[in-house]
Amino acid sequence: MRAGDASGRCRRTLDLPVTTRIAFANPADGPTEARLPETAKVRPTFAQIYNATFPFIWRTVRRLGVDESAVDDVTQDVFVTVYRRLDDFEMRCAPKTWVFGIAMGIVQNYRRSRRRKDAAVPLASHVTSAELVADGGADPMEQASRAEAGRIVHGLLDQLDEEKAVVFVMAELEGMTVPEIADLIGINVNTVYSRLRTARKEFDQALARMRAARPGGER
Amino acid sequence: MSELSSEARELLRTARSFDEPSVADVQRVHASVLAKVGIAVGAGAAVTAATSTIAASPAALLGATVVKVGAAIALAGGLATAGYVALRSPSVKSVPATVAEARAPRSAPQAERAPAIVPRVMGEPESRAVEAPTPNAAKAARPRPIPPSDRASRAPRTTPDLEGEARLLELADADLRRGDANSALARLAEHAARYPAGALREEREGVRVVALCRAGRESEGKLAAERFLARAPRSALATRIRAACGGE
Repeated sequence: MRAGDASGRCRRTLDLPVTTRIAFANPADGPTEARLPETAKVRPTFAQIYNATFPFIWRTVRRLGVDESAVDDVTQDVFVTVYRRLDDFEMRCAPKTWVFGIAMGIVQNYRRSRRRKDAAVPLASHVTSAELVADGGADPMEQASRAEAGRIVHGLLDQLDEEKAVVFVMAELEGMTVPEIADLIGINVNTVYSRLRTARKEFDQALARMRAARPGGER
Repeated sequence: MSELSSEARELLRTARSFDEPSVADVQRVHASVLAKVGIAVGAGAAVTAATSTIAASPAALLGATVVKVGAAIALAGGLATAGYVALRSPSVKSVPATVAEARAPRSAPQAERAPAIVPRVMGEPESRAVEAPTPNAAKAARPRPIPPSDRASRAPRTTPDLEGEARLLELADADLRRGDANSALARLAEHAARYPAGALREEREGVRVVALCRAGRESEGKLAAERFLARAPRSALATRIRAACGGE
């Protein structure tokens, strides 16, 4: 995946729903959907883009190998860039796609510098799913609290290469469809399918390895 | 194409809401972004300087809007919601048919409902009446000249007390994280009373659903969850709600 060039991904006029936020005046009144006006002639404001994409970007950054301690900085960089480049956003794609492109560039830079910095300890904070699980005792899969499960997933995702991790995260954690993912990343549907297939296989294998490494091994 | 083991699926299901940002995360990063691009949050003098130096660019208008609505408030949720209403109201009919198709079946009824909601929001007098006084910082930061083009992207409701709203929601969220769902519900009720049409009512409703389920009011919570998720399956809060209420 190419870093930086977000506009290259903005190939279509109309895209996926950007986000769906519902504003309840009063539940009984029925909802109104506060999504970005993606077809409006008016360029969305920074606040609108931020609000519509922040949770997605935050989750994605965390899942693609950014240390918990650096998530603030990385997401901040993403949205500072969004703010500065807003004038260049040609609205040929959904803001989510545009912001995602920017975020991927910044995440890649982060990953590169992390690799340089601690080549010896590649998976600094998400290490050792096996250790984590060992601490948890009993059957990790049954006992895993949300946080444990979250960290285990981070550790397993870290074992996928980035191309596969992205596709896997979008499909399995974001619940996006394959065409939606193809659109988001700017690759064709068949490539998404094949990366997803491989990613699932590798994720399962990583999980199996982790379980085997756990004291006591398989029951 | 379901090669993923059931064990992996279960793990992913449990982990899904782990990476969700809290209200505080949303606020904190927003504030630091604004600070970094030169919109000094809450500092009157700095804001004036910042807006005058970048006054020529459209970005300045964005910044000004953000600052105007309440400089100390970094919560974008309200801004976007309000902005949405403002942008959306005159142009509901102009949304191309392709959009309705692309978003069907949910978008069509929503497009119809939107106009009904707009007048109520615009005409609401009570949200001002119950607002706590805006902090001085926010007042000082409000830029004087309001460019006409800026008005379009502004909330019709003027100075909403986003800070107060956000603070209450954060407290409720903190209660929940501590496991005190009843206290969270009390704060949410307070929020509903003080800001019946507040900009963060989606967040309020979502957090309330979680709190109901955690407080053991299952049937009520499940019903509210179903309703919420039917309307906002992709809401930032959806995963939390599913986790709390056991929905899939």
